[in-house]
Amino acid sequence: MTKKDKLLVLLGILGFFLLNYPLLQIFNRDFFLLGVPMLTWYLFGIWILAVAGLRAFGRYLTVKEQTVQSFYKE
Amino acid sequence: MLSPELVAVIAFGYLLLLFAIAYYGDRQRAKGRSVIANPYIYTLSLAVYCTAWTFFGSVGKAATQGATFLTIYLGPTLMAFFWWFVLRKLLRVCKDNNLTTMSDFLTLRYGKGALLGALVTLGVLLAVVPYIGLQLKSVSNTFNILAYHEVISPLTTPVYQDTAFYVALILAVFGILFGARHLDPTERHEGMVAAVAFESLIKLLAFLAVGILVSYGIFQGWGEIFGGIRHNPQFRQLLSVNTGAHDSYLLIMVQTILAMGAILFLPRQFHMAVVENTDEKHILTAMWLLPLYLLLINLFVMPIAFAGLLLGFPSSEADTFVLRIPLQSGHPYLALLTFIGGLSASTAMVAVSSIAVSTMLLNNLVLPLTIRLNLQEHLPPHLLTIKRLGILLVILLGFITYRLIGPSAMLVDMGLIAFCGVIQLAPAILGALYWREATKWGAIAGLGAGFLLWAYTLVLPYLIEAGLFHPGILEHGPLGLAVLKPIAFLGLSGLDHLSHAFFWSLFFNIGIFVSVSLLTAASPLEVEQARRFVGIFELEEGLPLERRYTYLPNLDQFTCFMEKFIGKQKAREARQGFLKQIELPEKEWGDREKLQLEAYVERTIAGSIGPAAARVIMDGYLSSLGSRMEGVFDLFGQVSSSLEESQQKLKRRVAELSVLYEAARTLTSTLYLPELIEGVLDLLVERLGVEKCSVRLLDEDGQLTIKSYRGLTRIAQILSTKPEINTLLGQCLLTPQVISVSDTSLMGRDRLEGLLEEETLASFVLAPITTETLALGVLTAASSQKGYFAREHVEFFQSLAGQLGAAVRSAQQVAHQIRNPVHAIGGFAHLLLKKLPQDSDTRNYAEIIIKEAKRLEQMVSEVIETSVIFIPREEEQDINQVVRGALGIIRSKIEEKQVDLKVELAEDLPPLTMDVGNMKRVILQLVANALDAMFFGGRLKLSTRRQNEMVEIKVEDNGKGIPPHMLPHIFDTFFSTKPSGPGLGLPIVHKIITQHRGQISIDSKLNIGTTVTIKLPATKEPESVQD
Repeated sequence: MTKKDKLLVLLGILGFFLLNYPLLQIFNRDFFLLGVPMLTWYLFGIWILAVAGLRAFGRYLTVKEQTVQSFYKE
Repeated sequence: MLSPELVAVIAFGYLLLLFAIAYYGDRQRAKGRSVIANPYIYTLSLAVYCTAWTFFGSVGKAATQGATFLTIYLGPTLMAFFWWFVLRKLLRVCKDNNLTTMSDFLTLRYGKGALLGALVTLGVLLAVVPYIGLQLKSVSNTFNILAYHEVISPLTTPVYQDTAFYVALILAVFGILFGARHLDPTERHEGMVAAVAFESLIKLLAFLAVGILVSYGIFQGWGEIFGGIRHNPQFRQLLSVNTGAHDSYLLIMVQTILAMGAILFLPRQFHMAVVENTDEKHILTAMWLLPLYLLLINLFVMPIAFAGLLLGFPSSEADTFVLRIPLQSGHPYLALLTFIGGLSASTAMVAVSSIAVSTMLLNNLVLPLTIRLNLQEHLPPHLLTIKRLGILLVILLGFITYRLIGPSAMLVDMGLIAFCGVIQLAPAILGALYWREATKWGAIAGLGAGFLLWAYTLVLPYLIEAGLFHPGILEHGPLGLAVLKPIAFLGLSGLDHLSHAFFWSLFFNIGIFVSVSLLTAASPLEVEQARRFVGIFELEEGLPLERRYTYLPNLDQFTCFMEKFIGKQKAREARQGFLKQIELPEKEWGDREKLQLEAYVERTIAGSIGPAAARVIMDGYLSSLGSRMEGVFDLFGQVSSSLEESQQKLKRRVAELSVLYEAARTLTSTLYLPELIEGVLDLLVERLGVEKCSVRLLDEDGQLTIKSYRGLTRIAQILSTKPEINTLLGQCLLTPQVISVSDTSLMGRDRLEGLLEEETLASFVLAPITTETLALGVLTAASSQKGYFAREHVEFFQSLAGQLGAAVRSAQQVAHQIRNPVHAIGGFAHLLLKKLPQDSDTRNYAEIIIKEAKRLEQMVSEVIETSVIFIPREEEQDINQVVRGALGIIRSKIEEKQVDLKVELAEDLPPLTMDVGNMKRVILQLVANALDAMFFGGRLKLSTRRQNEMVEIKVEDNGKGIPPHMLPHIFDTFFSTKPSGPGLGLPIVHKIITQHRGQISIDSKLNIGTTVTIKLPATKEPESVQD
């Protein structure tokens, strides 16, 4: 696990905090955007960001794995 | 409208389609073309996480508790951030050890005992069985709604009329066909994975279809639905969280953590993510694609739930909104699609779970029990049947729980019970992966406490509600002890059931796991496994050899053994796999390869019967063959003061002393040098268990040449090296000192120069053969155990080599010192003879002196010569040639004695491997002996003939024969039947013949004659030595 890889773990921990009390309380309020409650926007928003972050990291690690493998093959 | 028959036929048709997919997947795998070896199928197979609970239950939960249901899917999303580290490590450990269930994983890490595996299996069984019941409930309810528009309560229907019963039977057949058609040591079912992936696609599409219909067909988008709820005071609280105990922040956190654990530790997730994984890089795709899948399948949950409420359905029916809305709004075929989607979710879950749990049952309960009852001999033929019965049993247990507590609990509750149950595994599993100090008893105690409290605080209340226990326990505690109330344990009240159970079970689980681990010591086996598990990414090859078997079966025997457990085909594949991995032909295997084979076989059968049983069966198998394990001497690595080991050391010391004593006896009993050296080497091999040893002596050119050896190939003797001080050999000879190497692999190649690769093994010792002033050669000894020659054994070799040195030296010196004076005597006697007149008496005396001096010289040179010829230089030769050659040399003598010579040489002789010079010497010696024994005009016969794989050479004479009382001593050194002569003739002959792996026998009758018979083995097929 390189230093950069640890960022992924940090993001996971960050996600856990974002989806729990007390941060969750900021968005647990009676506010509607386009008729949909703030909380729903927030939860799905974090979700989409998480997917995007995981995808970016997945790609980065895939490339890294391939380089490592081709290195060993040579 | 949909008739029950139509629904049943469609459902059945769908299941047949799944079979077809699974069948195709299995066929492709058999052909070596995997249909599932891509990250997308892997992701879809992980979506087995979404069961009927997701499909129907999420809507039910959203309709009653708002957004909290999302935690069940956000948890896995958060966990995905850690997959690349945790899941990959788990995967690597399981693949390396061929582990097929979580319980096997824990069993292997914590010392291969059966207790832990049994505990895990029972806990998981208790957690998963209601979860399976939930799937049955969902299928039967949705079927009944679709076909009869009503839910039929199991309380009022007999079993044979209960749809769920038939669903259970069909699903059991489904599970058996998918998961237990044949035995597979890897427990991989590609067909099933393909079918599950297909089902994941269907359930997603079905749910999205209903969501789109509700959002945009029945209502005008999300705004209208959410707006309707917002303006309804009865439902308004569904739009926010933390409005009560049912959606508190605490519960959100607890559910998130439970879901994070569930995505890894539920048996079906473990099976799909770990066992069915084909490439660990697939994790990198699944880690974002699965969260996306979960997002999509949850996108319309709230709109559907709220739409159902707005449409006026009672919230008690919320679990079936997904089905009822399209049905009520006139879209029966969409409802049918929904039903199929829910069926997909249920069947996938039941199939995978029942397979995974039945494997656990087999490996951790059935097999340890059969072993305990000593029935393992009878087991192999029934393995498949037991596995099938296991699947059936798990599903039927699910059905029974559904009948018992099904009606009283909502779909979602049973899922959370299971989540909370399997999270008890988290401390032990994470400890196995990351904490070296975790011990078996820590794991057992922690898991035991966790499962117990989970069952007591979470499962029991449901059983009480279902009427199985007295309700008083819930209100007043067992036996009136309020402190022990299941829902307010130790007086902790005010929490919801789930948080309460979660807190207490994990509090005790983790606390006890950690503290007991710190208080108990790990067995050596556990320490070894901890090292391998925790450091799986760091260490790969080159582990030191720490144990070995006194005897190990060969590859063929092991293959037969494996056949019993995994079938002929798979055993053959496993065998090929091993050969590929080891890259060495079986002939060249050493201890390390054999040990690898043993471990490989154990891993392979562990795939079908679990590591605990595999260990026991393997041990039983090996000990039935008379093999036992012995530790490898590693005095530098592991100093143990145990009694057993010091006893072992003592035994070795005694053996060493006896070797020294015997060596001293041998060395003083003979001056015949080859015999001395051979005797010492024999002692090393027989008494000390040295595997390879040799004696090198310096020859006239200052080269070290191997003179005698044990356990080396024949090529050894033709190599000679000049001793250089920078090599171990040279250092040993020239300094001179004993050099002991406890681990050959740590020694640089250049330091080992001059030593043969085959004679160093894992550890070896070099001892200089010296006298006080001279270095004569080097004694080597080697063992395939590391550290076999520890520091304290150095003295032993020093004194042994010293004795040998003294003996070698004295034999050489005696010979040399006698030879020179004798030479002088002979020379001067000749001079004298020339000066003396013919026919004088004095001249006669001089002739006698010359004759005797010659005889003496001959004897001395023979002694010297014997100090030089040790090991023959062997080559392939026709023995008849040798006989003819010898006769050519001695012909004049034969003619001189007017002996009637008869030679009968067979022409069909196989070639022999021999030292031509020595063999000629043998023939000459025998002929000379015969001539000596005969009077003028005797008969001498030489013959050769073939006798099976041997060649027989006979020398027959009709001389005076050997007196019977002398026959037994005929081969003793310095014993001669003749009144004169050195008496070295026959012992040398005997030695040479023995060196050629032949036999010599003498048959003699006084005054009738003597027959000497030599038998030599014919050359075998070309050996691998000549490279």
